[in-house]
Amino acid sequence: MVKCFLRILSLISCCLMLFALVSCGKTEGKSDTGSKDSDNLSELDKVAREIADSYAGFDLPKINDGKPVTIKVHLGDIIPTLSEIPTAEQPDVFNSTEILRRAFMMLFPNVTVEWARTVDTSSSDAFLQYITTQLNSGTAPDIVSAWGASFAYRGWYYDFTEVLEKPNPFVKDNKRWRDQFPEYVFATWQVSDAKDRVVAIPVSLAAGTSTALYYNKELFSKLSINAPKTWEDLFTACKTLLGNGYISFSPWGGPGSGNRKISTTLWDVQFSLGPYYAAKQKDKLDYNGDGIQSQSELFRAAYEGHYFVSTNDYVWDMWKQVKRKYTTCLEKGYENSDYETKWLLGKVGILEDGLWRYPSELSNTDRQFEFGIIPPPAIDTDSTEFVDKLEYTESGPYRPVPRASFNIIKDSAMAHGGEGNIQACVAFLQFLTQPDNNNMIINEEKGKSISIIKGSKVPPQLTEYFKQPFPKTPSFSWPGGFTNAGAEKMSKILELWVKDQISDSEFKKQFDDEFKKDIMEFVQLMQIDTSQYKKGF
Amino acid sequence: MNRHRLIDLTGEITLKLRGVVPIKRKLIVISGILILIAAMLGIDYFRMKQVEIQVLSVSPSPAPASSDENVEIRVRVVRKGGQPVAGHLLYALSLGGGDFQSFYVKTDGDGYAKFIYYPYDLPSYQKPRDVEIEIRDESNSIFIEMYPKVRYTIKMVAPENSDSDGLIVDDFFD
Repeated sequence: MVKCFLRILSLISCCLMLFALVSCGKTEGKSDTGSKDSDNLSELDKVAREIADSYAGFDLPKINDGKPVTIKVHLGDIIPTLSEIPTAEQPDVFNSTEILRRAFMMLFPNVTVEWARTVDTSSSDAFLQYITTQLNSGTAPDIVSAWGASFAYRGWYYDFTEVLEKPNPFVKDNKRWRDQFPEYVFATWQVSDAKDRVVAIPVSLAAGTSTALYYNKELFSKLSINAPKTWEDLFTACKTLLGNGYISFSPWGGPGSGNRKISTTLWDVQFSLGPYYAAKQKDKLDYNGDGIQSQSELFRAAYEGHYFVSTNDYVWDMWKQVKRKYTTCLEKGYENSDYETKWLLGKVGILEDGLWRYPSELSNTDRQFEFGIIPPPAIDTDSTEFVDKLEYTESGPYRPVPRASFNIIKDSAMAHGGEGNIQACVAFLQFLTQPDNNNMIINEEKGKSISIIKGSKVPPQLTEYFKQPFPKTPSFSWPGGFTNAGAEKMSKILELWVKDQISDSEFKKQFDDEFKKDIMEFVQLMQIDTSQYKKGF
Repeated sequence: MNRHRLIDLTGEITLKLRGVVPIKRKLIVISGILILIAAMLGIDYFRMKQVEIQVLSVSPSPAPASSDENVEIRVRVVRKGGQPVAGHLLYALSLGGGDFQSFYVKTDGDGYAKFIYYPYDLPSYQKPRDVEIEIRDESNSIFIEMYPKVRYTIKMVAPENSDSDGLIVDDFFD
């Protein structure tokens, strides 16, 4: 009797296990060296073959004289997903870069492209530690995605300036690789260092703006508030929302992080204030007068003292605006509050986030109201005399900044195959910026970015957002510190001042002292020739 | 089982084994749990079979393989007897490229829902390939995720004019 019972039990257990196995579904594997292990892999190979075949007749370079070479590539958030087939459980697969990798290897059978999936970019500190260790052990990747030129002062990166003057061999009739990109991107920190060397190749642009404000349309209508277009409008909206018992503004980031933690690189400084204050001082800050402040001009201006708070009224005014926002616009306790649930319930007026949130926000059926999306409101003359009158586009963004850009770590590349490795890395990046290939990547990003390559279409997910006027953000920057350590110390001082833990005069002195140390440290690290600069301290 | 070990003066070891829970009772408990799981599966399977997702129309069809196109997919969710299923959350997934404006949509009072699909862009060197989509009802299961779903193949054709009349990124550079 017991035996019979046990048999039945075993049978039921087996059935359940089998069911669980089937329910979990098949997960298609993707090896990092591209071996085929399912029918779907051959589907990707078919597309890769079509792409490779489309280069028949092109005069492609001979990489590493035809000898074998392997490059390790980290592509940040456009690295392909391990799963290739979208399922309801894992709908977000990313295959385009995998297809391009295979097509590239079909074109250059002597080149092996391997994905470097374990690069730690969770924070700049983590990245620094990771790369330092990997470089010492000879296992660092050859291509990385790591905040553009932010770590150029470490001397790690390959200088693309010369190769950009030559044609991209994957583009018909291209005379100069650089011509594929809008020229203003070469002045941004995402691409160039303080010596104006191009140390990162950009492959995409922010989706109009890097960040946006999502607002509760129904609440705004109920309280008769207009969607803020200017910095001052933002204060008016926040005041009304707070006065009516709502959470006015939810800064980006989880409790204690992102814009809830005060720093010199707050989004307000980068997108709503800094460029506008700097543009008004163009005579001092744009040395060649071309209307675009390059990274070398930014550093020179800092070295010459034009960003010190104790000696420049406009700088003082800019930081005061930051303090004003954090002390009057936000609800008390914002640092450690999580407003996500309250947003869904309609209790938050404005939610700050990246454009990367937009696709999921459009699909969120838990939200009980209609939302609107606007670019970050910029400061205008109604807030301060230290900016020019704000200008807007008729519709659509103005000079979006690079989103993803890639560096070649030259020491790593040299250790993994010398010049041949660098040749392969450069060719792979040229391949990613070929218009059709680049569009394939952008389309798979589903509205998180737009292409940086001239002539490319705008993803359909963004056409609605781009119907509104955008502020014309000047091509000027605001330094929040040049080295990682310096920026952290300056941020701490800023935070103490915003929280009224130090006085105005203490803030000015301590902030500038730290900034001066940071500048001198940077001069040494980058070996910048400052003999032609006027020292501002 | 509890194991009691006794050692006498001569060093001889005696082991006494005593059952704490009778094996029959254990089997009853385990089989009870299994029957419960099986019942939960059965209920959700039954519920899944009671609901049907119908693709009513796809427009335009065939659809040009261009992200400039908005392909409207109208669906209806009904029970076996034909009664509409209102307020259910439908999830759409493209298995062959392209994207949905919103991948979650709720059915209205009559069980209707509408998805907007953006096709992939066809490069000049490729032939159009049809796109399979899957739509499933995520509000139907109670215990275990067993969703009623439907698969539909959208016929794709090469766009008549490859020049986009939509926005291009150059519009934002100056």
